[in-house]
Amino acid sequence: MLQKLFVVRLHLISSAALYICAFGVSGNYSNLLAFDGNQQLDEPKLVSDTFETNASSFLHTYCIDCHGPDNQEADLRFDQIGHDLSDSKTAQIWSDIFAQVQFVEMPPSDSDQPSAEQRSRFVKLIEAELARFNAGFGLKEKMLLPQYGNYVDHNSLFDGSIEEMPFTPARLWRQRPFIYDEVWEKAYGRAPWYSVKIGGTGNHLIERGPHKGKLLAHRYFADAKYANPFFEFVHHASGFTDYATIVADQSSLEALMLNAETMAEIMTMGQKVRVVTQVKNKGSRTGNNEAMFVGGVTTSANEYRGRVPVIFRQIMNSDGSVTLNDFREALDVAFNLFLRRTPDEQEYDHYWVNVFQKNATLGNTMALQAVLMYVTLSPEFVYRMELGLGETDPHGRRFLAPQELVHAINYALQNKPAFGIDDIETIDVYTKKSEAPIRKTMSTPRPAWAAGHSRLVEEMRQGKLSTREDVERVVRQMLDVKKSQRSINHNRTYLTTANPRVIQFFREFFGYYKAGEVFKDVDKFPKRDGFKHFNSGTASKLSYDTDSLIQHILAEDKNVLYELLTTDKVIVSYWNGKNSKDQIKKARGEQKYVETHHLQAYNLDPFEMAYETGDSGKVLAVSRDQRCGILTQPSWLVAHSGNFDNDPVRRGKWIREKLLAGTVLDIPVTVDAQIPEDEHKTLRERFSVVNEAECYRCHRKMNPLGMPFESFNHVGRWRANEKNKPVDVSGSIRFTGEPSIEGDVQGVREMMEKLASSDRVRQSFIRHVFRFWMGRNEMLSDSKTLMAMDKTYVESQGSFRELLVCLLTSDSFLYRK
Amino acid sequence: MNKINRRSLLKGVTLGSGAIALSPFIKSLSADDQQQIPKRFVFVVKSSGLQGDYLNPDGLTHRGETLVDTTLEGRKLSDSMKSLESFKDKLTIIQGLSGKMTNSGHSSFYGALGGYKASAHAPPLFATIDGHLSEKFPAVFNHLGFKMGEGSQGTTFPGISAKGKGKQLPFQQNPLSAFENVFGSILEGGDLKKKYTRTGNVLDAMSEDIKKLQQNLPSGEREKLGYYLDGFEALRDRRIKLVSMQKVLKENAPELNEKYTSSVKTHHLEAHFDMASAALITGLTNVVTVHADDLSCVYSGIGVGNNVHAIGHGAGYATLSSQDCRNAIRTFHIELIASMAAKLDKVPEGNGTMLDNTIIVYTSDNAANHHSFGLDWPMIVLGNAGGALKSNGRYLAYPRYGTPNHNHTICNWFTTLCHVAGVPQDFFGQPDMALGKPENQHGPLTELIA
Repeated sequence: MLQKLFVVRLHLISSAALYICAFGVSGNYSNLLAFDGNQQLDEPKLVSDTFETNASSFLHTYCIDCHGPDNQEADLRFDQIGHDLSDSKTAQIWSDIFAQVQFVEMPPSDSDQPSAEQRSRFVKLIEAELARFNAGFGLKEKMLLPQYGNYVDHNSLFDGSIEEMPFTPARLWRQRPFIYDEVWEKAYGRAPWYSVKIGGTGNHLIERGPHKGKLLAHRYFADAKYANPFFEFVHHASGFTDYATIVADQSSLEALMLNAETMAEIMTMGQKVRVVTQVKNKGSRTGNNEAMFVGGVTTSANEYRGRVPVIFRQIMNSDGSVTLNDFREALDVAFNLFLRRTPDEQEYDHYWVNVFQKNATLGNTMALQAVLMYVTLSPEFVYRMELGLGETDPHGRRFLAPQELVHAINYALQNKPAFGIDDIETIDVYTKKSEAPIRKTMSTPRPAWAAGHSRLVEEMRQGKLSTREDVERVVRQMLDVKKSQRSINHNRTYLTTANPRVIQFFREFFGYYKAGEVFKDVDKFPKRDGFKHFNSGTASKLSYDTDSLIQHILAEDKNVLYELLTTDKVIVSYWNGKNSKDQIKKARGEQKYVETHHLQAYNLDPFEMAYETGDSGKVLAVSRDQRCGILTQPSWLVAHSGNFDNDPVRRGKWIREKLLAGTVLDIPVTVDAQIPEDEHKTLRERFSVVNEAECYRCHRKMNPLGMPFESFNHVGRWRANEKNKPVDVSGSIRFTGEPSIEGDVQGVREMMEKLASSDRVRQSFIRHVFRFWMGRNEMLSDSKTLMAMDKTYVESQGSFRELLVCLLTSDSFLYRK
Repeated sequence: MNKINRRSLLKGVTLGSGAIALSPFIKSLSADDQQQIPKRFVFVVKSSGLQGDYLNPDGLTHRGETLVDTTLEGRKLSDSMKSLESFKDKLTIIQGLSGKMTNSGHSSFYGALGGYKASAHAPPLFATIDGHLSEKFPAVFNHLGFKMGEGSQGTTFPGISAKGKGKQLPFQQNPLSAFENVFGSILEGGDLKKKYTRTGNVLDAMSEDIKKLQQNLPSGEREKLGYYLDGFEALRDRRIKLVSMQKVLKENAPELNEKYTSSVKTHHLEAHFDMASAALITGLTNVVTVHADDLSCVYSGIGVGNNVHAIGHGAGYATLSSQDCRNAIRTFHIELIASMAAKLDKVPEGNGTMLDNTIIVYTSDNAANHHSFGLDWPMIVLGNAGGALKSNGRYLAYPRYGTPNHNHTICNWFTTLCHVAGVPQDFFGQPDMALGKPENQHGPLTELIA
């Protein structure tokens, strides 16, 4: 948000607007039918007659056998279907037909198939007719949503048939919640209170006043208390939390507004601190517990701390009208703080006339606060703008301007703003001559909002960031960080890594970090074999383990995807390889220590294991038969499990969508998605209900991929038996579009080895990398970028770093149109 | 509190320059006045569970195998419910509803009012009942939420209410800024009034700016910015309406007193209830949710100096046992509800009072216990929405979870409210798969439908 473009101004946009208007938004999201968003849908000039004739011919050719006079599968009969879509029931049936045909669920794969063109024509016909009655899908809009990403035809993306030069449509991109936090939390989002205790224990002897000679103890609390206006929301199918389709709306505005009011007060009056002073009662014993002060004197007051800009104070203190010069200086500061650029002449004028002067009757302080609020509600603060303000190439694409490049590259890898705040002259708000420790806490040498510029800004200012080569150089510099030997844990989360967005991608792609959101009945676990190690804190520890393992694989940077899917290494963030006597004693003996140890999540015994140390840190090598990549990490298994059972459907769906670039329609509302309870049967046996034809049409895409994970219990511990029988770990890979990997599999290892060596899986992974970093679905026109990424990845022996460099220097990343 | 009715409210509206913009609003008011009295819903949600055992009137128990449906007449209400004695004929105590489809634990978040799995960090899956009803009965504020908590924070998102998928509803936390947001238009002089004007000026100028910017954007991006612009226009619209209602607001707004600035949290909660009552009486809203507390709250104002979480885990305070503390908190909530009911009962409406057209529901975000599995979710219901709800002094205890006759979930209760509200639907939230097919657990609680 912050530093937007120097060139484009909200109301000065006309020059840019000339070409923005001219190009419109063009996207060519396309499904395998080569539906092209660039094309306008057929004009809805069809009358029902045409619709009826054309639609009927398709239905009669491909559908009537199963949904006609002879058979009425799913109770549908198309020879008697209505065509008047003003009737909502009829419209609903046509919507369903649309979805089934559009998403290639129908006709069934074992029947005659329409050509891609026939299919395309048919769905467009329905779409247009539905649109006439306002019952349309907004297919074009839908294709922008992350959950529809896989509907873009995989083969077309990678077969080299697309000639179009890649680009990204010019766009606004709503601020990322992380960035807002980074700007807001420390400086304007805290509700501090300060506890001062007099007369108990403490390390400061009071020098004067009525309490002279007593000891003073103090603690300052400043918890974050504010609502982030940009609550993330994405569809579960994608898992990606930052997508350019996400908008700011009224809820965002209400939160922004309230936050802006708080900020305006902090920047003019200072940060309000509630100071609670407690004086100990004579009779109470020593110590600083609350109870020791009961009966004493407690006073509560509000004081202000922090630093405010000198020019703000000057304006607030001036009695009458404010000079234009002072105002301009104040506006410079406001822009510097939030938009991180200088205003232009029109902006000086606009803010002076329409904001400051308009509020001048309320007093200079209120008018100044209005200006500050205005800046943080402006679209420029809420949306980053990627318009492409650099040179236009022969294909009509515009290169990102240097400022845009700074943002784009920085946001790709970082969760904090690229531009800092230039020096602002400030004064301390707190001027009381209080006791030294209080004065020290309440006055600050450095404002809470101070922030330095990133290295990218320096490069840009020196004129060294304008070409593709420049981009490659700075991206390599940013990625070229020292390997971390330290595992990730709650004190050092992935956010503290050099480029947090890298591990963030893997978190969002695999979704394992959601393990903690799956409620488990931990109260019953201490008495249950295979679950004794799992307590209420285990899920989050498991996520840190996986973060660490991914960090390790990325540090090696060889065959990254293959390793992610097949590694037999494990990292346990909260075990240093030693078994301390204290811990054993705490667990009440060795046996209990072993049984309840976190290593049990991986079926390991802490007395039998030792770390192997390599260049990229310490790892544990485990049985290849038991662990095979991230999908066998307990964190992933728990995140994709139910409260009381495994969830083979969700696991299979994950593989289908994330690794095979496949699609599964959302569950129809009429489906009773119930798996019968039967304590004598295994989950697989209970699942046999979905083998019914009606269910299986969708479930065959998921269950056979999810069933091999039955070799784990629902907290991710490996098991050989279930219900006193050897676990059935069979599964199969089908409907992938890649015959070489298809067939039955016995167990996770066999399945994952096949998948990990598949072109389709690698390309599906690359598509997801693309989506995460571009904040949008791939379009057919991104084909050249995706193919280049694929090639680079293969030629670099699976280097994720090279893959990323390739994407961040691609046309898709650098050009707007 | 002055007595008013809808007609006097209309008289109070001054038709000034905003008349044109206001006309639909006034029309809706006069329509209300002549034909249809709006239904109002209040949800008071506590944390740490609402213990069913302490709600049973003398001689009645729940957790049986068959339905208990009996009258409250002649029965002594439980100690914590004494304050509701005078409303006994409008009261229903519901026991035995289950909510296993939620993600309970310490809190089921949106699940408590939505009947589905939810967590603190994930966006809501569907509307919750309060958000759903608020969209059906729009007013100046479709929904108002109040929450006791860290007082210095203005608005918060406790993850309790949503008006749709991914659309969480904000709650007012700091009573003073809540007052400014809700009743700010009546403030005269002083900094609050100036702040109110300043905010209004900012909103006005900004929406003009956004429109200009929009004209220069490609269509998709224009639409994207449109959502943001809509926000400004909605806020502006609201302020115009509030200005037009100044008279009635002045007559009925709560007095801005020391409760609003107190450092004692329970005073904030009292202020929240005062504002909620006034907002309902003035017609500012038809749906209110009070999220009474969260686990970190301390009820020092009623002599309970330990936080709700510690109490839930068995800690007492001073001479009070943990259970004493829980009783005191529950009693306090019910007293606040009783005083709200009394205020509504003083306002004539139709042939009766405003309370006759209101339903107040007291429940918990975590069923019946501090740590809960959602097996038993008590509800205290006050009011009968013009007779649509058969709530006339009843005790209803559904068969306990796990017995053959149990198929009554909180979702059935929410469905009941939809029926009562005149916007019937037979499914709400998610079904509990362990209770069998969804169709066996759909529809309203027939015992309660008039």
